[in-house]
Order: sequence, then structure tokens, then C-alpha cells
Amino acid sequence: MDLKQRLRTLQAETGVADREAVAAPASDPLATGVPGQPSVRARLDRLRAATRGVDHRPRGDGDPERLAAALGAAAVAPGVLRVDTHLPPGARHGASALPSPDAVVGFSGWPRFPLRELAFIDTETSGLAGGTGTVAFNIGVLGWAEGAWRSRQYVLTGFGGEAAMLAALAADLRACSGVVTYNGGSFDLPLLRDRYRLQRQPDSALPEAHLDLLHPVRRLYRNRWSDCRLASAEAGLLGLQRRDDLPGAEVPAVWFDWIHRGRGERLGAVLGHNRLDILSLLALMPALAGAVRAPERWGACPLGAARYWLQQGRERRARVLLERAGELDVDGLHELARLRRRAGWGEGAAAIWETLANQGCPRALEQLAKFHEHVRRDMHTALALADRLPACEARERRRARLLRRCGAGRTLPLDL
Amino acid sequence: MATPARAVETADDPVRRLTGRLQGKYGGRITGQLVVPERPAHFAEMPEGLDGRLREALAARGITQLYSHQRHAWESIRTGRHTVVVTPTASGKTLCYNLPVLQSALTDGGKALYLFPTKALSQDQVAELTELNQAGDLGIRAYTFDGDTPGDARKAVRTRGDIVVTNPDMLHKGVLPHHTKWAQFFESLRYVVIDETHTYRGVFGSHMANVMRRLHRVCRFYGADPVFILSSATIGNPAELAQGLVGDAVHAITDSGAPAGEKQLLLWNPPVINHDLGIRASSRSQSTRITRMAVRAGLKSIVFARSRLMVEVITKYLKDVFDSDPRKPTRVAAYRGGYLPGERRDTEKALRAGNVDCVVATSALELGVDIGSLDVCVLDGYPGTIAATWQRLGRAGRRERPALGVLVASSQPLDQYIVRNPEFFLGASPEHARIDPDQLLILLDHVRCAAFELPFRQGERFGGEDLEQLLAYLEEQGVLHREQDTWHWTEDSYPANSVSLRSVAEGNFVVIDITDGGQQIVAEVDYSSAAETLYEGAIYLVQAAPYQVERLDWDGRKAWVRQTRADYYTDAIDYTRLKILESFESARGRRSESANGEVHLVRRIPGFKKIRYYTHENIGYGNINLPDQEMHTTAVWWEVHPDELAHVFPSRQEALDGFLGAAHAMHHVAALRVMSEPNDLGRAVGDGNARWFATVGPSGRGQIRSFDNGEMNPEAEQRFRPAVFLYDNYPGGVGLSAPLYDQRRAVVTDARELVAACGCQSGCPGCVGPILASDETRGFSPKQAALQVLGLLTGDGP
Repeated sequence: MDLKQRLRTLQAETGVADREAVAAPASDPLATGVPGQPSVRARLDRLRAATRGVDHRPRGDGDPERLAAALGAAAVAPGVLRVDTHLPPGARHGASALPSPDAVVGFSGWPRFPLRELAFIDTETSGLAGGTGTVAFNIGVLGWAEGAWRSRQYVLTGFGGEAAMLAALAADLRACSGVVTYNGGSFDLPLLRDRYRLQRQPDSALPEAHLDLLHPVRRLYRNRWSDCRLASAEAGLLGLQRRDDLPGAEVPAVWFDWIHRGRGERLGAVLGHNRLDILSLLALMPALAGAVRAPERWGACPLGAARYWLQQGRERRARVLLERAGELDVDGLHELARLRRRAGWGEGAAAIWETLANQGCPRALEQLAKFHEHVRRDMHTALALADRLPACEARERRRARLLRRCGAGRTLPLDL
Repeated sequence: MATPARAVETADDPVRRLTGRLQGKYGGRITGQLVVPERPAHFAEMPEGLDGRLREALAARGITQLYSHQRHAWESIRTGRHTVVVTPTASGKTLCYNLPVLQSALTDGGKALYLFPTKALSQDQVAELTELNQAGDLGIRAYTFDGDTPGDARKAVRTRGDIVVTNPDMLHKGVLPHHTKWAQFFESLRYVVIDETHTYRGVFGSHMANVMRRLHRVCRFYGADPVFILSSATIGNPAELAQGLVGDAVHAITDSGAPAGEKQLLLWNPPVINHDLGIRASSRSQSTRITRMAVRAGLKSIVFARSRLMVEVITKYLKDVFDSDPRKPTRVAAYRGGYLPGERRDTEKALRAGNVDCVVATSALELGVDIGSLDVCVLDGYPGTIAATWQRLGRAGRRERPALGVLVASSQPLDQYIVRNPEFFLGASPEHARIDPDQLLILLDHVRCAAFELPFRQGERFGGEDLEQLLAYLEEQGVLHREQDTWHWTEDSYPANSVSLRSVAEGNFVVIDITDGGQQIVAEVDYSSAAETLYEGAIYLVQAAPYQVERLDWDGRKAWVRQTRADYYTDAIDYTRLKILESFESARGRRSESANGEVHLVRRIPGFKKIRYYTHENIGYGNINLPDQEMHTTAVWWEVHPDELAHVFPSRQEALDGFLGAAHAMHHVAALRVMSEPNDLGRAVGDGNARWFATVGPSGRGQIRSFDNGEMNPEAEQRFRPAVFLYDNYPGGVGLSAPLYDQRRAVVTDARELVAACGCQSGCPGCVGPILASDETRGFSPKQAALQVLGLLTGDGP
């Protein structure tokens, strides 16, 4: 008898299937089955005794109309609410102000679009693990519309609204030239593409041009801040401290509260959180553009900014930026020395290496040894420097070569 | 009874010469013999419509015609039928699926998904495809996609691969839950190839069938309807298994057109060395002897052992003979699960190159890992199924040369049954591979995964259960949410990560060698066997080198070991306590009752024995302190009415010994009856209320114990109602108990026949289990007691 039949037996009215069976006292282990009708659920509960049980919180459906009223939202399609908020350029955002729509903010590899042509996107999702079971239930898209910065937020009040929401988003994005996100390269945009596929809609609505602000933030602040979350960027660059902000990890539960139990109280907090996110994306554009130009004024790492310019092929700008930097770490100093040398200022490079070598930096010792050997052609100094290098094969080769070039038989005392 | 041992003409052939010598010298130990005659090749023309480039590529690799089965496969697959090809080892089965797949890729851009049970097999396959591809400059892109595929290469695999080679676990965790990223691939998916289909049985097969259900759903979403091509070693029901996995009708091609040399098979029973106790020489002593003769005769040999431990023991015995000089290259190698992949690859390479004369392996080498052909195959113990026996024997045999297989029986009842009744083995067809895709827990796991991949709609079907009840159950747990006619995933999780296709619990243990003060990983052990192999004090063997476990971190899944020179190995003691939760159905006979139902089982490993090499004497005990392992599963049990028991047996002790002996015999014949792997079925004797369980104590006599009170006195128990339990060794059961219950009478009568027909005097490992000499003094024969119990269970009395 297979499992299916066994389950049927379990569910059968009698509870006892085998006519051979003789009734036995209940305490007897041979008693044939508990009277009643054990359901699939009952059996599963027992088999899965170790795992968590039923969610006993009361179920219920919420009223989307009341939710819309509470959120100040308009119902744009069954299952989809929309909240539009308009803010003028210059409006405060933390200690900063929203930029002008005509500002052009340049980034490495990024076309010079005026800000009015861009869409700033952030999503709130039903899960953080990714995969096709994850829904973006709240999409915020900020853009220039009707003479103001318009934050437009869609919220799903049910799964059935997803197709309409994605179509509306596609319409919103039709005219824009590029999108800006924070970590959207690995999270928001792939997720949206998945959702378009699942709804059998073309994902061509999402513009090709995409700027993920996480990357410049990482480059400029990795060594400056404890992490590179958007909240850190807001605090460090925009002077924005979020109060009573909903932690990202709680977001999925808020939506499930609405879906399972009709409780939408905390959805307002999700929308507030999402709105701040997209406004911050906009406000971060000029701030980050400033930070690559004047890293120290923005508390950024000058080396990160220099690398940004190097990537643009602007070596001179990178070097000037490092020359002007008040304080450089070891990597920054090495990069400056490298750029000085490439610019033909070998002595300037050597000065940096001397300083570093005196602090015991092996990399500087090596560079200095090379410099003395190949540029100043001072083999003895080069050899003395090579002697101070940590023991390794390369050092031995260098020493052997330098010894040869110093003249056979003439060695310098090792303790020089 | 036995097939008369035909004298084999001792021609010049070294294999025939060895066979002749074995027959001459040990004729009395050979209880049966079979000669599978040489089989000539049957060829067929290349199909008419075959793409010219493909034809040239094949010609460049020396293939200008096909074997008949390859041609039949082509015809079947090209007409769009799901097809399973059942052929022996080395019969060119890969061409059966590569041909239509490559044709489709070349002519209409069709894509194919290849599924192999292990990563190693996938790599072999891609290497072969690449060679063919290069030979014909076909421009076909075949990629493996598994845990080792680097992140930046994955996109190329998804969007550009014509053939994607992966394994079921990766499909389950990495592909299906992200199917939108594979949209292009699924849209053009024409073929799904499942190789080594026979390995998808039991738990793994039940999971696999559900993964295929999920694959079908995703394919339907993209409008694809791929043809499934399966290949399988010989089993009793290839078409049925394939249909169970695919969920649709599958056409079977079973006649191989590939040539094969003559094959000799000998059934070998070790000689009795103690007539009083009915003890035979160990199978490993015989296996090593035969293998020694084969290697000395210059024949490449393989020995299959039943456990990892036995692989190590036999390897040691053979290395002691052939690898005693450390300056010479090794001639003997061990191969088993738990070795690191790199080490296994090296052994495979050495085997292919003929650099190793003998390999000792577990079933890990049963699969299609390419190791070239060997001359002699020795099976140390019956592998448990006829199908597995032939698969292992298939490792020996080259196209135009004879090969020899020897099945050496151990003292296990099943082995003894097989060698004493050779016609059973020689005449029987291989077993049926069973799967139970609707096992409730497995099904539920995959309903969760499927709901994550695509929402379920009302009226949709998934498996044989009432889907709506399962969805409602998940809805109650808050995992799903029903909106109109659709169930959506509403949990912040990734369900496939918590579902393992192969085992009950997650997490392999790593074995770390700290001998040289470093931390070197030397092996991996799966969760289910960790408790019995990695306890502190255990001797853990790697390539026959003993390591002692110094510390085990159960939660961290790590064991630290140090090399040792111990002259013993260790064997864990296993206590199992069962409690009946519910009986689904029961049958009451005149004196006994039998039932089938659900049980709760607690397994404890309290200690271990130290066993000296060669003499196999027990030289000590050690304690183990590990968490108990619990499981709910299904079982069949047999009980005797207490009055009858008291009437027949003068003492409870005697009854208890009878039950333990009966259980021993019943367990083994039951495994044969339901055609399962013996380990899939567990056995226990105890009280159904879990008050006590019975075990064989150090003195060799039965004792009853409880976890809390230790040993108890059976006479002092108010209630004495022992039962024999045979349980499904998997949480929730995999459907072995129900067929076993249906054959409850046959199990008892078979066991009774086995014990009654056994030539021993008062019991032996071949019937009721090992008995100790002191048993002679207990005043009754344990064998007789077992027969009395079995008599009561059959209902006719002794």
C-alpha cells in the first residue's frame, strides 16, 4: 500500500482499515489507530515535531481603501497604491539641499546627463535572500516632473497588483536616460528584471545606463567609515540622521503583517524609509562629485579620489590631488611617489621613499634601491638598501647583481 | 542445486588460467558458477539526417558506424519520445544522448541540460564533449555549472551554453530558484539528460523525482517541453523508474549492440573453521587470498568491500603483501567516499594508466567513473542487491578478453542464503529500484521550493497528494498566502537551502589531521555516519593509515585526528529504542500480531569496541558521549501474545534470546524481500512503549536495558511483550514498511527456513547471529529459541 492509500486510510471514517484487526485497549500499542481522522496536517505536525508550529496570530484581510487613506495614497490599479510627493530644488535634506534639475554631475564611465533626465530607484522587498520568490512590494522612483522633484512610490496591497505596478513603473521610466541606485547593480535591478520576466513583461523599460553609487562610496570611504551602508553615507555626506528609522531587516515582516493579518500600521514607516533612500540618492550625486574633486573637504580618502581620476585617464589631476592632500597613508604616499616618478620628478619620488624607508617600509626600500641602481647609478647605496630588505629570493638576486656591479671582491659590511 | 562447475579450458589466457587454478585448489568453496558467453557486436549505419559536421567529428574520433542500441536510441529520441537506455558498462551509452543533443544544437540551436549524480562524473562528461567538439570544430559550448563555477563565469554559462552539465543538487539550489536568470536557456531547452538513472532510488530518487516536477513547471512557464533521455545500469524496472522520475511514459531500450568478452562468475563460501559454533573463515581473508593470486598472475583487479572500514582493512592486508617496500611505487590503492576529490582523481588516473595493480573500493566506484577496464573483480560480501552485484562485476571485462568475478559470501544471513541457494542469484532478475516521490515530508519540502519558484494556481497538480491540503498547511504556517486562486510565497527565506536531496540532516564533518602541528583536512564524513565513525577514541582509517580521533566538535562538524600506530580498529555499539506512536493497520493471528505504523526512534551510541587486526579479538571498550539521534519513521512489527510466550518458553531470558535471533534472520530476508539496501531498513527488538530495548550484551546473551536505568531484569518486568521491529531508516519513511507489511508472513517463513536449513548446531552468524562458546552452557539452543519465536509468529507453533 502506498503512502497515498495510507493517508486515505488515515482519513477514512472508521480509522481502522484492516478487517483482521481486533479492537484492543487504548493503552495497547497494537491499538489500530487513533479514532478520528488524522489529516495531512496532523501527520505533518507530528513528523515535524521539532520544527516550528502553526503561526497563531489572528488572520485577516486589510482594507486597501483605508490603507490608502492612511498613507495619503491613490489607488492606481487593483492591488497597487501610489504616493506622490513633490519637493522643490533647494529643499533641505539633512544638512544638504536637493540639487537643481539642470546640474550635470560627472562620474567615471557615466554619460553627462542633467539630473532631470535621471530616475533614482530603490525597492523594498519581501525577502533579502533573492530568488524568484522575492517580491518588490514597494518601489520608489524619484525624478523631475511637473516642475519639482517628484518622489513616486508604489505599494502592493496584494500580489495581484504586481503586473500593473511594473507596467506603471515602465511608463514612468520611458523618458529617462539613466537610473541611479545604491547597490542596485547586485540587488534592485536584477530583482526587477526577474519580476518583469515573471510577469511576462519586457524588462527593456529599465534603462541601460545605470549608476550604482555604492561603488564610488566604497572607493572614497572604505577606509574612512566602519561600513558603506547608505545610512553611513547620509550621515557622513548629507548630515542626515534618521530618527525612528525602520531597520531594513524588519521590512519583509511589515509587509507580511499586512498580507497575512491586514495590519498596515507600519507600512507608513516603510514608505518613509524608502522616500528618504531615494532623496538621499539624489542629494548624494553632487556630494560624491564634490568628494572626488576635493576629497579632504568631504572627509574622503584622497587615494580613492586619485584612483577615480586615474581611471578617467587624468593622471595629472590625480597627482595634483595627492600633492595637495594634507595627510596620506602609506598606500597614498606610494601612489604619489609613483605618479611623481612617472611625471619625470624622480627626486621627488625618492624623497617620499626615503621617508617611508626610514620608517622601515620594505616596499619603499626596494623602490629606493631600484632608484639608486638605475637612476642615480649609485650601486653602493643601492646595495646597502637591498641589505636591509627582508630575506627572500628576489632580494638575493638583487644583492648578487649589485655586488657584481659594485666590482668583484668588494663587499660592504652588512651592518652599514 | 548449484550449477555444475564446468571445467574451463585453461587456454593461454591468464584469466582462464586463474579461474582454473581457483577451481582446482578450492573447488569445495565454490558453490555456484555462471559463464556469460562472449557477445559479438551489432552495428548499424549512421542515421541519414545526421549533420555532416557531426558525422566528420565522429569519423575523426574513429566512429563511422553505430552500435544497434545507439541507433535505436536515436530513432526513439528523434521522434520525441522520452527514452531510457539500459546497457552495461562501456557500451557507448554517452553517444546515445550526445548524438541527438549535438544534432539539435547544430541545426536548430536547441539546448540541453545534463544531470549527473556527482560533480566528478560531470567533469568527465564535459571533457568528452570537448574532445568531440574539437575533433569536428563544432563550436558547441558545453559548460559545467556547479558549486565550483566562478561567479563571473556563471552568466556566460546561463546565456551562452548549448549544453549545461550539472548535478541535481545544483539544479535544486542554484538553477530552479533563479530560473528567470536562465530564461533564454529554458526557452530553447530541447533535451534533459539524466545519466546513472539507477542511482536515483530511495530517498535520493524520491527527491530527484520532485526536482523533475519542479523542472517541468519551470519549463512549462517558458513554453518548453524537453525530451528526457535517461541512461541506466541494469535494474529490474528501468522504464518504471524512469517514468517515476520523469512523470511521463518512457520508452526503454534494453538490448546492447556493444561487444563484450566472456565473463566467469564464481560464488564462493569461506570454509567452516569451527564446526561447533558454525563459524566460517572471514570473507575478507578469502577476498584477500583471491586478489593476491590475481595480482601475482599479473591481472588488474578490483575488490569491492561493503563499508569504508572494510575497504581500509582489506587495503591494509593487501598493502602488507604488495607495498611493503616504501621505495617502490604503490601497487594497491583504496578508493571510497570521504576521500578528498583530488585524491580520488589521482587514483582514477593511476587506474586508467594501469599504474596500479589493484584497487579496493566501496560502491563509490560503482558509478560511471572512468577507470579503464580490469580483469578480475572480487566482491567481499554480497552487495545487498542483484543489480548492484552486476554493476560492480561490470567493472571487470574488456571487449575481447575474458573476465572473472568472484562473489565471496560473508557470514551475514543474506550472503549465506545467496551462496547456499545459487540458483536464486543466478536465476533472478535484478531488483526494482523504488522511489516514493509522494513521501509526505519530501513532497512538502518540494512544494515549498516550487511555490518559491512560481506561485501555485488552483487546479495545478504536483505529485499524487492532495495539493490543496499541502498548500493550506503551508498557508497555516505563514509560508504561503492565498490570494484568489493563487498561492504566493510569503517568507523571508530561500527554501532550497534547507532541503538536502541526499541526507536527513545538513552538514558534513571534516576530519583534520593535527599530527605535524598543522591543520590539514584529510577527509569528509557525512552527517549520518559521523556518530559511528568519528567519536573520540575512534580509529579512523585513510588509505589504511590509522588516525585516532582526539576531539570531536559535534556542532562545529569537525574532528581532529592524529596519526597512530594502533594494531586495532574500532567498532561502535549502537542502542536503538522505539516507541509506537500509531498503528495504521494490523493483523492478529492465533498467537501473534503484526502491524504497520508510525514509530519514534532514539538512537544512542554509548561506546565502542576495539578489535585487533587479523585475530579480530575484542581487546577493549571505550565510552562515547554524543547527543541522541531522534527520528519519526514508519515500521512493521511482530509480537507474540504474552500468554503464548509464557506457555512456550520456560524463561523470559530464553524468549528474549529467541527474539534477538529471529530478528537477525528476519532483518536480512526482509531486505531481500523489499529489495532495498540492507541499511535502508533498521532492526530493533524491544517493548513498544519504549520502556526497554533488547541488545546482545558482552557475554553474548540477550539483555534488556533502558537509557536511564541501564540493564534491567526481564523476570522483574510486569509487562513483558517483546516485539521485532523493522523500520524505514529515514525520517517519515520512504515507503519500505508498507510493502514489507504486505509480505509480513513471507518474511517470517523465509526467516524460519533460513534458520532451519542452516547447517550449524545451535546458531551461527549465518542465521541467528553470532553466538559465544559459553552459550553452550546456557542450557538451551539460541537457534531453537529463535525457531520457536518464528513458529509462534507464523502462527503454527514450533
